[in-house]
Amino acid sequence: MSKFIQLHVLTSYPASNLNRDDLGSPKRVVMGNTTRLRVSSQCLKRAWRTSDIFQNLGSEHMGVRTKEMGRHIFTALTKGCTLQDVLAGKAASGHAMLEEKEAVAIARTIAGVFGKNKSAYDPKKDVDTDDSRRKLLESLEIEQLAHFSQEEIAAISAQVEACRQNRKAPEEKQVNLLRTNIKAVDIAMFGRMLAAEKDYNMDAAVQVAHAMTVHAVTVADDFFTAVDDLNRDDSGAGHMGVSEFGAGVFYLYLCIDRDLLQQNLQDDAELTNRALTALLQAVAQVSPTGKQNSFGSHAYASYILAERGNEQPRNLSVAYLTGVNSKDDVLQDAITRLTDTRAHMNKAYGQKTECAELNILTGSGSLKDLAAFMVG
Amino acid sequence: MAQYLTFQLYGPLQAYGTVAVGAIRPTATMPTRSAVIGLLAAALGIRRDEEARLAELHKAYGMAVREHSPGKVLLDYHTIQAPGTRGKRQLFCRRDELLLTEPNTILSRREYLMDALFTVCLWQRSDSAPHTLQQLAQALKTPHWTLWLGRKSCPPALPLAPQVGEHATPQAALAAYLVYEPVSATLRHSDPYRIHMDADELLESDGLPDAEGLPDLPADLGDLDDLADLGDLADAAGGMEMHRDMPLHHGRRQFAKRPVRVLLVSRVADSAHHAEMPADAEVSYVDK
Repeated sequence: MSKFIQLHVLTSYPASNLNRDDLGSPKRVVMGNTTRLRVSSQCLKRAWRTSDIFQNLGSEHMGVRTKEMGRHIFTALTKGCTLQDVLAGKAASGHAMLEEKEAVAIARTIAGVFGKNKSAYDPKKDVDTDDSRRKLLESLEIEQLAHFSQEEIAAISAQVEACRQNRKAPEEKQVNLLRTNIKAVDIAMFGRMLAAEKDYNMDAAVQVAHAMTVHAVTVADDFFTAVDDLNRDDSGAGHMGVSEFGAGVFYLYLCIDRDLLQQNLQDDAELTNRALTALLQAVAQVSPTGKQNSFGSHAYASYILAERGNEQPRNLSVAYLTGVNSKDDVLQDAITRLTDTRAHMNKAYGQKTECAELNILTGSGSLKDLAAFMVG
Repeated sequence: MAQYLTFQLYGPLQAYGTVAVGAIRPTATMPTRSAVIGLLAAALGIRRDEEARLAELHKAYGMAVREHSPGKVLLDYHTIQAPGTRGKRQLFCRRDELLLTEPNTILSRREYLMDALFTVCLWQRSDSAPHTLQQLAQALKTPHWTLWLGRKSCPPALPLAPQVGEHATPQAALAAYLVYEPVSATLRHSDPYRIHMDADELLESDGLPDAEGLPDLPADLGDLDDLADLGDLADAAGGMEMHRDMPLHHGRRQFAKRPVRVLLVSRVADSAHHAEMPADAEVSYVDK
């Protein structure tokens, strides 16, 4: 199996300011003696890992966002039906029914992994007992909305059945597994360094380069004024400002160490494949959030070249060392240069890699095919 | 004549961390010893916590680095969102930390080198080196882990293209290595160019930190606080610098100072004489 999977991605962003420096201008870099726009690696990763795609991990079924998982667990335990039945609104199906007290303890423990529990309901301290049922159920909720993927719901359901058998709440370690198995994918990919807690350190399995435009870019200034609607006397503006922006075709590069990713995911091959699919989707479809309200520059990748092999990975940015300077079709020129550079480089250095591509200009390839190639 | 391993280092961004205290994370202008040995370790599959094997690598190979294109320094403004108060909740992923807590933002300024190109030359200091130069070259061609140029976000943009050959001196080995022309031709060259070379052959009597001596800072190296302490050695060698890039302990990030010989070589002299000329003839030393 191939060890390294490399992704070369071309994404065209219209006027935007995706990643700013301390003065608010778009980040830049000099490559081949000319200035390019840059989106830092950390900016890209943040956008990907906080996206809904990562939450659902490439699953075709969307998860749910709720505060109420605790009360559903409680209902499942006290009414003798499975969690899935409760969530689907079905009637009881003949499992063992637990005492309310036992069910509360189990529901609070499991829900507490996903968010902060609301304070426990104590009927003895409640003077107005009319509404005690509603209050009890509400106390089983968590404070904020939490996202539950389908896999997590299945894992919680299995945990609920185990607790029904034992009639007691699970150990902390067991419930923590509900999340760590599923959710540590972003850390498995992008790593973690905590000087204080060495056990939680993990070397990133995915290397992400700073994205740069394939051509020279001059950052433009937008001088703007805002009108004071109620001002009738003064002819001046209510506010004046300058905002900087730029546009361009960006080259993004990622290198995935597939073995390390699987190792970081406790050797779960299936989860590794889902993680790869989710990463590809996020890379192709998720834009950094910077100034999106001002520029609405959400863009999907126009071209993706995926390579897999065991030889030393290399970024293909040298294709753009001399900036693309095309009057007609910057994107087409960028694609041609990328594929040519790959061929020349492989020839010069005697490397061989298998590849697959997605090309929006010709309509060839799809994310699904690319994902299948990556999973290999 | 001796055997030398040479390879090229190019990426649009590179970063070779030096002493970094607090928010500013500077880069050296040439690859550091710790970066090059780290690259070898990644290629060989030596983990960060294998202190003994890493120390062995450091001890076994001498190093010289040649600058083709010095590049420019980029100062990147970087914000980090550290998780805020999380109460008793355990947060399992970065997404939760970012979205469910009020983050405390930490500012960091990170330096990178842009448009820089270097070649590296390594040689065995003794016959008992853990890997032959050929084995190192093979590891760089099919590395165990991904390689990067100082920071993970700085992937190499050319194969390292390692070569092993017989040469008279490290300078001659570096001069004989042909970097990838299409890239080299596009970048600004430095003339004269710098070579940073391990000065350990000059300091043999003083001894370098040995593997068993970890992690204490050897007194003889630690005392070399400035160039004046090098005394006669500095006079004999011309340009000498002290670089704090000799790892003593990776886990604790302790580094010892390393005496480095700095040579300035004129490109004209270099191309006129070609590879195998006695290197000293074409070398002018830095004024110190």
